[in-house]
Amino acid sequence: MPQPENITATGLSVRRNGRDALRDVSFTLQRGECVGLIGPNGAGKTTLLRAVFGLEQCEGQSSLAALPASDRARCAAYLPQGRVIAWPVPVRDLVALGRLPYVERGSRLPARVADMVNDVLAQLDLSGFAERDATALSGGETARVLLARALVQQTPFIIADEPAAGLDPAHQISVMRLFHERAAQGQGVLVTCHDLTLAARFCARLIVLRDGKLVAEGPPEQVLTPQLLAEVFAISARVEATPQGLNLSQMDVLADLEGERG
Amino acid sequence: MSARLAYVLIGLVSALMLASLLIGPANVPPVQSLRALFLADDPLMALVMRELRLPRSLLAALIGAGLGLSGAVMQGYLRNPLAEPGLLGVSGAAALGAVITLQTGLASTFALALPMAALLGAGLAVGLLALLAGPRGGSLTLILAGIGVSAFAGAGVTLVLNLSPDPFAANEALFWLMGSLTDRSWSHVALAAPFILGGMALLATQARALDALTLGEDAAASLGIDLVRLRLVVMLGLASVVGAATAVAGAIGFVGLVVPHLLRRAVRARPAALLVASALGGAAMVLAADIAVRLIMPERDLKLGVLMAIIGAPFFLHLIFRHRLTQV
Repeated sequence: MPQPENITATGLSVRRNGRDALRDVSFTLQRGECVGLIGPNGAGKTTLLRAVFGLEQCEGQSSLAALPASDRARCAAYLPQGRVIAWPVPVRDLVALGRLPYVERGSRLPARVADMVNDVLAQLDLSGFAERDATALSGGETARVLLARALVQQTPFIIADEPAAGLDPAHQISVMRLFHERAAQGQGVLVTCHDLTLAARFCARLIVLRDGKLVAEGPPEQVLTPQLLAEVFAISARVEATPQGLNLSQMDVLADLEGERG
Repeated sequence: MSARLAYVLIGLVSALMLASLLIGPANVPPVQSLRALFLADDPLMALVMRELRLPRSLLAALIGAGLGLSGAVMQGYLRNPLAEPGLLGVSGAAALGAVITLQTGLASTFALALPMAALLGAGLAVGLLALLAGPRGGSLTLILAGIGVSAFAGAGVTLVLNLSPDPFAANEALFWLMGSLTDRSWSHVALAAPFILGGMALLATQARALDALTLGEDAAASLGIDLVRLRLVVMLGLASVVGAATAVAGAIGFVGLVVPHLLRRAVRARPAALLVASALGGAAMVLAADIAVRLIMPERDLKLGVLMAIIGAPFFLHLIFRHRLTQV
């Protein structure tokens, strides 16, 4: 199957409990770009990712969701926000599950999968964990093992829901840098992230959601203005351009400030 | 599953199968027994071996394998080590069908009336489950529907016993409910085997899906697993295996719960590997229990289901205790 050059979502809308969880969101993700999806809690980030993947009942079109399930699994890897590892399987076997879409029914995983798994574990600083039980890991280790599972899928696109949440600063930076590098190597990455400075530094483009609507889209310098931060995130912040990228100092919550003044 | 574990389990099942063929009230030396299986120079012993012991041993292995596999599927599907095949209510419904035939006297009209009614009960339960749980929806809906069916079938059984005008029939039903393989014939094997083997084959097709479910439903779906189909296959396969097993042997609990537990560590918790291991382990466990009921109090007709529960319950408590220790 020739792999598509982009994923296109057109007019995605999701209604849940009589409320618009997502309203008429359209965007395109190209191969070779790392796009950050940002927005406050409950803005619809996860709903959008699930809708793009076809895991959510929705109106509108997603070129990814339109693919047959087996093709979709070879086109894009999805890293859900909930970090589920149900059984104490060895880390190596858990990561190898990422190769399932390539295995014919009933046949065993080919031997070279072991090499792929080793490579990805090494990239994520997890080489010593290969034989450990996957349920006996710390929160940060669990997150990285699951990321390894998505990377070993070796798809043209990666869609990751909060991959950096709960990691220590060094691992947060390395995870985001890894996505940045993957994009430079030609993969298309869509990633949600609550750390705006990290998102600004490693994503070439940001998509901002609020109340299920797309409210801004573009390069970080254009999107992350003090006005937008005030409107969407209700925070006051100082934004400086530095050689390493945008630097955000988040100062205070606007509603509280008003409350104090009032 | 590692080759070593496979050899151990296959060896265990073979040895128990042999023991099951050689142990019985006829008390004939082993060599003579085996000889009678193939040669007809002792017509009486040939009859005992071919028409009594062989079908009984085969049924024990078949039912054990089916229940072990079903338990592993159920635990993998629900990602819960406490799940067991009875959760769907199919065994309860099969028991209701059986008890009704015993109570109405239908069971004595022809040999297979009881197991056929039990299968019908299991089939109705699946239909009801499908209606209640709908074509979509997650595993939780299916389990809630199963609990509903189970409760209804249980109430039906007690109602039949309660209204029974004939204490002997009620007694017979009560004994049947305890589960046993005594005096089962080739016709029982012929009735149950297609359903059990077919159901097991159906369940085995979902090994990959169960592996993928280790990562949760969303990740499994993103890996190309069809969750709707998985649920349908689990429901049909489980009903076929459990319904047929209950139909010919009565309610035999604990196999589906305990066997996957026992073997999980040995297969390093991989859900697909656990399927094969649990099928073999289940066969070994039911064969062993069926040998035990013939050795302990052979004159009192100790029931298989009772023995299983007596061994199973303390073992289960032990598991919970150990689970608690590792959780803290």
